[in-house]
Order: sequence, then structure tokens, then C-alpha cells
Amino acid sequence: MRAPLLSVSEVSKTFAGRRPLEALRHVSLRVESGDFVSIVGPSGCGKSTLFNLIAGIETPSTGQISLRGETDPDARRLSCGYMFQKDLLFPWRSVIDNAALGLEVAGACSRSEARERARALLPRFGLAGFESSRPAELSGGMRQRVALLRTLLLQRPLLLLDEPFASLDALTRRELQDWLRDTWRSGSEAALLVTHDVREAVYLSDRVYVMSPRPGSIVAEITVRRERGAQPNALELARCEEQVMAALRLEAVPQ
Amino acid sequence: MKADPLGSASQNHDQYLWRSIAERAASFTLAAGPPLAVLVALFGAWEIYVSASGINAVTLPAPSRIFDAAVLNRDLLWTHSLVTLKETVLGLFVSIVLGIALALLIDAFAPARRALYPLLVGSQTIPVVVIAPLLILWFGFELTPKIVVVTLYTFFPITVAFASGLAAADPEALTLMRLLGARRWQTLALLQVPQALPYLFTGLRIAVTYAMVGAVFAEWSGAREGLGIYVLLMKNSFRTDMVFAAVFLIALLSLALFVMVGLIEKLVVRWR
Repeated sequence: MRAPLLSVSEVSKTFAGRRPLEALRHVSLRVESGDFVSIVGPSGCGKSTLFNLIAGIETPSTGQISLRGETDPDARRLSCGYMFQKDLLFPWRSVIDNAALGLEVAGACSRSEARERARALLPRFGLAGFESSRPAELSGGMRQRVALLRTLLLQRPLLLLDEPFASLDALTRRELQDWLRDTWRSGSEAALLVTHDVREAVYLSDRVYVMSPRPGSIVAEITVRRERGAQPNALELARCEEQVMAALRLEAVPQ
Repeated sequence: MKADPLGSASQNHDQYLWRSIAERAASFTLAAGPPLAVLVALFGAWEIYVSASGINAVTLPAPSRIFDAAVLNRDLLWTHSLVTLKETVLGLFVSIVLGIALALLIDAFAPARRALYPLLVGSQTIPVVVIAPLLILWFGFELTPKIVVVTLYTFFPITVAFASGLAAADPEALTLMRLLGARRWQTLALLQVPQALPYLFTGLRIAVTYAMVGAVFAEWSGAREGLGIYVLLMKNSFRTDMVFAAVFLIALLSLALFVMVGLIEKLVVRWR
């Protein structure tokens, strides 16, 4: 069997301090190439900490993380495309220059070539004609699409999505979810999404992990699509949502 | 008029242009109107008081007399103004370079911040009034002591404003730069410096209001030309009207510098 793209095994994280904070306890998960995987959990369960550990900007207290066989945090960092809840677009840069920021920083190509590559993808991201607009002139949904373009242009193998749609209104959110499902593969091999929106997780994912409140640990794994690209009907989706909700409820009860 | 294919288009354009000019004039009037009205009222009261009380013109000249004297001596005022303006602008320029350099240093090294910050604050407690004569002693009657005094007056707000701008970058944006694999200088050039520019201009606006006062004061302590020494000479020869004329001119020129900084800011910080 091939090694998974990402494997997290028995990872715990405790933040040192006068009152040490245990954020994660024995978390294990894996993401295969081609997978779209979600992690659902209540607010403050350490989802973002897990992402920072995977992306190598924090180090786990115990446990192993391996991304494409790399355990070195710096190498892992450059294999991850990260998207935040905030779009983090720079207001002084035009849409095209914001999208090209990652390429420009990487220095793999000239600034004009970086722009050229970003420009070629604008229509697919619904941004045709907006290349010289400033972020302040765009809607929230468009801004998130620019942020995703900035991430996908880097062609990093693993896409980490940290509640990217949480600040959008319901209609825009659904629209972007559909669009993300069709687009993410153009830049990445696999995607990992953290969210507290059960419906979003089930709708987009092949598999869903459920996390407990702090200290976060994986309490359930629900397979939504057994075959890649399968489109479950509404009934199957509803059943999966029910399973996720049940796992979350079990965990919400204080022991 | 003959048929002109471009006629209507250019007429539209003209109309648009005129409307935008008219709108700007209206908004300017709206902003400048109240302070101007107060000013006119004050000068009116002053004028009436002087003519009603029959007060000596050396003690308090009427605004009309000040105005007449200024117009009569406009060439002289202009020559001295140019000298003072030059000192002010050069001093500001040194302040900007120094302030930006210090702020970058403070931002880059925590030890530098700990070592420099108390000294910077301390430098602001130096009574410039006392050391200006010393500067004349060290650097002579030429340009240098004026530039030093203007710099002493103005580099602090510029340094502090730019340093706090550099430090005000969104932590998540800094994380984003790390995740993109940015080096230290890339984070500085692509994120911190652009987002600190509005801060820099805030500091510069404060600095510009002090700058001219600094230059005038340095001249007062010893100079051959400039509004500062001119005011001193006029005072000693009991030309109170010319003292007032020079003072009003200094205020006007400071205001003009302030407005100019605002215009430059509009050009540089376009995303606001």
C-alpha cells in the first residue's frame, strides 16, 4: 500500500505556561492523494492548532507528522497551501498582484510572469475584468476567491482550508462551496478543511473526522463517499450529517 | 458653430470637468468657510479696537496696517521666506531619512528597541531653546545648525509613527508570509512597509507643523537671513507691523506645507 500524502500519528500539543493548556491529545489522521477530508469540531477544539502543526509553524509536544514522507517542519511548510477565514488580501495591491503574491515571494519566476500566470486563471475564478481592482472594491465572496487563487497558484500538494467561508453570507457560501469542489484539484493533490459547519463538511468531503472539545482528539471518522467523485443523493448526505451530529453530541456531554 | 464629430463628447467632458471642479470648490468652501469666518471676525474686531482706542501703532498695529506693510515689503519677505523654507524642507528631509532608518532598526532588533527607545524619548526633553545657541557656536551661522534644530524638533514623531506602523502588521498576515516562505526582508518590503505608510504620513503631518517653528527659532538664535532673524531685527527697530506680517507669513507657509504633505499622502496611499 502506498504511503498516504499526509499522516498525523498520535500528535499531542500542550502550550507551556503558568497554567499549561492542553490543546490536542493523541490525534491521528491520514489524507490520501486525491482526498477531500474535513475536520468538524466545536469552537476552540484545537482545529487551528492542528493546522499550524501540519504546516510546520508550530511543533507538536509528542507524535509524528509526515507530509509526502517529510517530517521536517520547514519542508512541510512549503508543501502546504493555507487559506484562512480572513482573506488577508493586501489593500495596496490590485487583485492580480494579490493573487501573484505567493509566486512573487517564492521567486520561482519573474514578477511579470507571476502576473501572467495569475491572469490566465482569473476567468475560472470569476474575476475576469477585475484584475486591477483593489480588494476594497470587491465583495466578500470575490475576495475569498482571490485568496484561494493566491493559494492554488503555488501548486502546493496539500490545501489547508481553515474555515474559509465562515465570514460569508449563506448564499455566497453555498456558491463558493460548489465552486471550490470543482476548482481545488487544479492546484493541489488533496485538501483538508476545518469547519464547525456540519453540512459544509459533509457536502464537500470524502471523509469527515469529528473532534472533541478541548483537549481535541478524534472521536469519529465518517466516510461520505466510498468512491472518488461519487455523488451521494440527498438522503445519504442527510444520513452522514446525522452521524456527524450524533458524534458531536456524544462529545458535547461533559463526562 | 460647425458640425464637429467630437463636439458633443468634448462638451460632455468639459461639463464633467467643470462639475467636478465645482464640487471640489464647494467642499473646500464647506471645510474652509467656518475657520475663515472666525478669522475675518477676529481681524474685524481687532481693526475696530485699534481705531476706536487710538492705541499706538508700535504697541498694536491694525491688521490693515500690517497688510499694507507686508505688501510694501513683499520682496524682502519673500527672500527671507525662501531661506527659512529651504532650512525647513532640508531639516524635514533629514528627519524622514533618520526616522525611517531608526524605525527599521527598532523593528528589526529587539535589543535596539530597548536601547534606543528611552534615548529617543529623552531626546525630546532636551530644551532646544537652550542648545540652539550652542549649535550656533559649533556649526556657525550657516545652514547646518538650522537643519539640526529642525531635525531635533521633527524626527521623533516620524520615528515613532513609522515604528508603530511596522509593528502594527496583522499577526495572521505575518503568518501568511511565513507560510508563503517569505524571507525577513520580503515580509518587510511586501507587507510591513506598505502598511506602515499611512502611519508615516501621520507622523509627518505632526512633524511638519513643528518644522518651520524650529527653523525660525534656530534663525532667531543667530543667522544672516531668514524670517526668524528678520522678526528679531524688526522687533528691535520697533516695526511691530512687520513682526506681525512675518508671523502671519510663517503660519501661512506652515499651513501650506501641511496641505502639501496631505496631497503627497493622497498620491502615495491610494488604497485608503
